[in-house]
Amino acid sequence: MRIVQLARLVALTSVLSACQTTAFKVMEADPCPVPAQQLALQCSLAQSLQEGATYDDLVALAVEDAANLRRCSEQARFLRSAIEACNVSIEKHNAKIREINARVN
Amino acid sequence: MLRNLFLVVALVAGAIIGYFVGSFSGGEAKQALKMEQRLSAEAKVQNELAQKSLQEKMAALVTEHTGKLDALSREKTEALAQFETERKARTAAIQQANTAKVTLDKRLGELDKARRAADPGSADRKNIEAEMGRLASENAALQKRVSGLECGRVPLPKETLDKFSLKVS
Repeated sequence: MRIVQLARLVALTSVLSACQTTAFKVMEADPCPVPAQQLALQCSLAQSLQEGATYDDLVALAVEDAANLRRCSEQARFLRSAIEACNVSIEKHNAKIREINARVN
Repeated sequence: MLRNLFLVVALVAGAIIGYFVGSFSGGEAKQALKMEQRLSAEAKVQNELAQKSLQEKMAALVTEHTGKLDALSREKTEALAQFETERKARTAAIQQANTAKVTLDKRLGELDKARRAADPGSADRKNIEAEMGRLASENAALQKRVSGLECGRVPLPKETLDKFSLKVS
């Protein structure tokens, strides 16, 4: 009787194993590799003048602020380029996933 | 006992039949699995290539960016240094302009004396007046230059500082 029960169990296990499906593992997209050092860069704030400042001080301030603005603009340009590069890469990755999904289905 | 034996035989027979019948669908599943494994491997390779390409692109962007930032830093340092040099040189420029103005004023005084001495309506007087007009324009331009050179040392009006929030709070 025990043999029969065991045989039934084996048969049932076989039937259950038929329910198992194989799932295709979709790969995660890799992160956008912008260096942390570049992400941490910030634009300098506009500076102020002290009471009693002269027109020379104002000109010096303008020279410095203009230089800081150019630097800030360059930082924004770099980050924009980095995001664009990452978007292109993500789009390629997604296109590949779509292609694979289409082939699997 | 015999009944159990039949059952066991039936189960074994079912298992054998199931194996063969199931092998067809199992074969398809194995084939699908192989295909998925192949696609997965292919996707992994593609992903690694894409990631490598992106990292190379990012490294190039960082190099370009770092270079531009360095150049901008140098430009800023140079601009501020040039301004400081110009500010220091301005004292000498003011002195030169003032000296030139004194010479011009003196020459204008001499010409004015000569103009008074000349006959009214004479060609000589007209020439003197023309020269005086030219020198007066030159003198006005020099005066403007001196004012501009001296302006840098003038404190900004309080109203300007307040209105445009240029003060340190």
